[in-house]
Amino acid sequence: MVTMVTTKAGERVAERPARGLGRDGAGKRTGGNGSRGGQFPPGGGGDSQRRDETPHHYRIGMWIAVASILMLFMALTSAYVFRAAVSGWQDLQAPPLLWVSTGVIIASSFTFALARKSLRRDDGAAYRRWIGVTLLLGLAFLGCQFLAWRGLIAQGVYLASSPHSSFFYLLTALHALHLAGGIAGLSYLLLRAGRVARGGEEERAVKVRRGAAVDAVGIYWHFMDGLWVYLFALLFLWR
Amino acid sequence: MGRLLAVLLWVITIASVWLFANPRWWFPRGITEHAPDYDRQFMLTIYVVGVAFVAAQIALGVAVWHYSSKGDRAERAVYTHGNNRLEMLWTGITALIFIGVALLGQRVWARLHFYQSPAGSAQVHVVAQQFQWNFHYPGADGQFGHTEPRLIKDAELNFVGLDEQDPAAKDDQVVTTLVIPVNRPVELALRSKDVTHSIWVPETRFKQDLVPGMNINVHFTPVETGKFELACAELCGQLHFKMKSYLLVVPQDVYNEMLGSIQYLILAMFSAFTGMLMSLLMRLKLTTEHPFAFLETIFPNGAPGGVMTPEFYLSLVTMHGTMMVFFVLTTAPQGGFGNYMLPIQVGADDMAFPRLNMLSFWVTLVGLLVLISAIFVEGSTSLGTSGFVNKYLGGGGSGTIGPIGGWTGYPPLSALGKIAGPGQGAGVTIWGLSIAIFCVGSLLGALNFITTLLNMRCRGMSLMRMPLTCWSWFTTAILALLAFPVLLAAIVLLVLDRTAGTSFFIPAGEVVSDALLTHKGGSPILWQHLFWFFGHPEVYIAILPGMGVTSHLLSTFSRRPVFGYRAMVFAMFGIGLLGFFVWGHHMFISGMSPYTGMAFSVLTLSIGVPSAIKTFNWLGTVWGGKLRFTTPMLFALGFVSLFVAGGVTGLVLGQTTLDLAMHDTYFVLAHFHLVMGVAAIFGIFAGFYFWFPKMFGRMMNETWGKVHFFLSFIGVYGIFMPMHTMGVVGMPRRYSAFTEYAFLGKLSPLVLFVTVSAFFTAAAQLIFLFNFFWSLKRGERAGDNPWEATTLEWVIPSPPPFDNFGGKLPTVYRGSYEFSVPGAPDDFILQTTPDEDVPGLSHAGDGAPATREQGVSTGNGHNGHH
Repeated sequence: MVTMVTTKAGERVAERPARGLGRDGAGKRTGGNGSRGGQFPPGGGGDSQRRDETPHHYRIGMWIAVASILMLFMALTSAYVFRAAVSGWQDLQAPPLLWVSTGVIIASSFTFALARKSLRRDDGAAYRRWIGVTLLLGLAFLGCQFLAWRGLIAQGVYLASSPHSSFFYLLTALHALHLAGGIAGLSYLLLRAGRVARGGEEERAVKVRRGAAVDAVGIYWHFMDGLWVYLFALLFLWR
Repeated sequence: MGRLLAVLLWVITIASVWLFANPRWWFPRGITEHAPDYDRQFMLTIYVVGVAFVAAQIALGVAVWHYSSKGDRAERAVYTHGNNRLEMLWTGITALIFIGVALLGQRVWARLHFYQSPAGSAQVHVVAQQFQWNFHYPGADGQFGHTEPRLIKDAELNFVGLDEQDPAAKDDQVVTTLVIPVNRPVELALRSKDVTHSIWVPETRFKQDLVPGMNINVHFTPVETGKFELACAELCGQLHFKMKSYLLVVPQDVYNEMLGSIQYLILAMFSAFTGMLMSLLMRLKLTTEHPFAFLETIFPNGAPGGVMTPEFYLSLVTMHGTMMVFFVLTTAPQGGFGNYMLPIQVGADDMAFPRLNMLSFWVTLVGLLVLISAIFVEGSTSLGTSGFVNKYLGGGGSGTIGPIGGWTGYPPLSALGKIAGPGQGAGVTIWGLSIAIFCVGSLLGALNFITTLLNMRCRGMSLMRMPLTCWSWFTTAILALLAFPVLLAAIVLLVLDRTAGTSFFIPAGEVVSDALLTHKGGSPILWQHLFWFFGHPEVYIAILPGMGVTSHLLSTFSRRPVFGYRAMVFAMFGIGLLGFFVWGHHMFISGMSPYTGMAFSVLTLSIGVPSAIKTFNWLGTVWGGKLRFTTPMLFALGFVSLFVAGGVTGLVLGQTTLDLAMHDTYFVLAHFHLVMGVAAIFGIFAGFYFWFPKMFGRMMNETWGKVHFFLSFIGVYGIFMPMHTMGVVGMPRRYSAFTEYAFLGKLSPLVLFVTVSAFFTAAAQLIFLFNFFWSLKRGERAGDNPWEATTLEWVIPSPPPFDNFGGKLPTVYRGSYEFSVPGAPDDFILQTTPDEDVPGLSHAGDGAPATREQGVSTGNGHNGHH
């Protein structure tokens, strides 16, 4: 049975250089490539702040989330392709308004790119403006989708009317639901855009965190854009 | 001279004002609730004294400038003995201001000292000693263990004199970093062992002496997270200047995180025992038609006259499967052990997204509650007539018990609604919603696992140094991430078919109960494709963590490195990858194209290759080891045996030809229960016995553990081996009675034997329950590393501190399984031990290879694998 001092961080460990955690590892070659800890001076300082200083995990997490959402739509795509191959399929005419919404969402990706560019140039006002414009375009897109729905309903095309209409309502609704998440993300960016830090360390930290948040929302927003173009093509241009 | 003095006075005044007005040298930002009040009071005071200071200095300067004598003796000063009115005025104003400031200056003090700390405060006992801070936490029970000065033994690391005999002391923690939750009052009970110390963190705006012989209680509320230096502010000896520690203010959910993983385990244990009870009821129904009065008492609808109805039996089948697959096999290894151990094993202080972590638990819990509610909604006739259920959930309950459809929920049966018979009403919709909720919870969890593993590994923890448990959780998370969205999609389609009249899975021209349905035409097989695209990876989601923990334990208790570590990792990924291309083997006879079936068959058999690699490597690990037969080791060995027993029959079922007779018989039942059910459960038990000391600080009783193992091992073989031959005879699944067919008649002795084995096995689980609760209270105290293992969870105390590593992340120098390294003094080397600290290892110096994965740098190269 071996008992170790190990958790006892800080000074005590330094006085007891036994095995275990006590080592700060500075200057020792570990031969491994784990990413966290160890670059800070001994004594335990700094480790827990690293999370805020290098928030890569927002980006990684967002890519992983995108992968899983993509799987959801891939599953539905395969169901759609499978179903369309079976008899009894009637094609639905694309509501013209969808062309408008497609244009709007593509434009929103450009405005988001402009917002990011402004942020990189440190132009806070332009950043706020472009994020705001993107947000409005996102809302406009949802509005267009809603009106397109209303138009179809006015023609008597409902969820259960035909396989194609079922898939149309389902895919557009799921996409709109996910896009609403993106709008929440944009609103968060807009709310946080006014926040100014009091110089020095803190300002740097706020900047890094904002950069990570913008990246994460950006990954999601561009994905939503691309996903819509894909769904539009699948629903009305494919076959 | 007067003018010089005046100028000097003014310069000093300006310099002093500048010094105080300069934000560079000021308080650090306050992080407590009272800090803004403190700062406001300080500013108020500084303005008042500043005005006084400046006014007095200016006045003095003006006076010496203006009234200096010119040297003319004839000059006369103003002759007066004072001005009573002026004196009263300035005395009065000064007194008013000073009294006002003095009164205002008591507010924060009074709030901190004259009020009891609010209920629900976090409690920490602080014991100072020369040049060291000890922070004593009550642990999970919220009770501080008894302490006694005579028990203090620094050499044994009992710094506060904790009484080991006291049951309340068992889970107490004594650490050297003060960790407190944010936004919650914290009450510190301050004591000193030797001389007077004083606890001080500038950011808290708080300081308090710790006086020997006195017990001082103070409280404050931190409102910001972060890590802050903690100092001693009272001269306590020669090293006073470095009596340093840290204050770590963490989010409440991090503070509760350990609790979170244990919540997952409790959820899984509840589901496991519920699922087990259901299987006992099922066995009872299959074995005898004898009426039992108690059944009618508990289930008046399901067992009228004490005999279970067929629909009751089928709802048990459905709920047993759903509960076991989702809420036990998916939840326990990943949510329970993975959440707890993954961050520790990769050297992280927490998961990447702690809040998401809590969220995924609560979502999973809601999923379970919704699933349970499905039983009651479906089982109730009164709820069934309510407008909401009728309108939105596809028809009300049928008055029997629970939804019917099996855990696979094949449409059209599951999609038609109440018209399709009993057990097809709202309960099935709710069953679907529960699975959808579960999917979301699992996805959030998977996202967190992958990010943590990719981004939060500590220094030196390369991927190929991770314990195989981490690899298995990682692979499982990837599978979950890609498989659960597909299930979610399928469930959404199914629920729409049930409630919105769509026709994704319902073909046109259905005639059900003499009614021609209006559905436009969908495909029932589509569901099977979507479901099994998820369903087959789900099998590996259940079993892979068991493989990981088995590899981990076989190495640890054989005292040998894992045989073929890399092969193990690649085999795990191979199984995961191939698992996505074999779903069709569940559908050979479904009407799918026979050519497709052949492709699926070949791919299915190829999964046997990585599975065989794993089995060979497990044998290779055990072979030539020095085996220690602890309870976790026994369960790991049991896993290997059961995995092989259940796995080999996959070669039978995976062949298109042989499936012709075996499909949906008890042979299939035996196959998947052994491999993904029982083997996975044995993996969970192995992990439970292995990590119990780490999680609760006490050992589980080994004797009872071994009894539990042997009885369970015999029991499960007794249940599932006979099922193979039942399947060969042709006994079909999901029959509520076998009385209708003559060819099944001769199986009745086997049916009885299986039922007896089931009750026997279930009884053995009571031993586990008893052992669990008994050990929680009275188990032998576990040290940091009771199993003499090598990975990171064993270098921290049991149970671990709130942030896993007490404020300091570890550094890793070697792979996970360095056992019996030639030349080393012990037969294991911790991952955190540098080569320099292992006497006997020939240290290769600067020429050491830059990347050592598994293995240590000894003169004879990659050792340990002979």
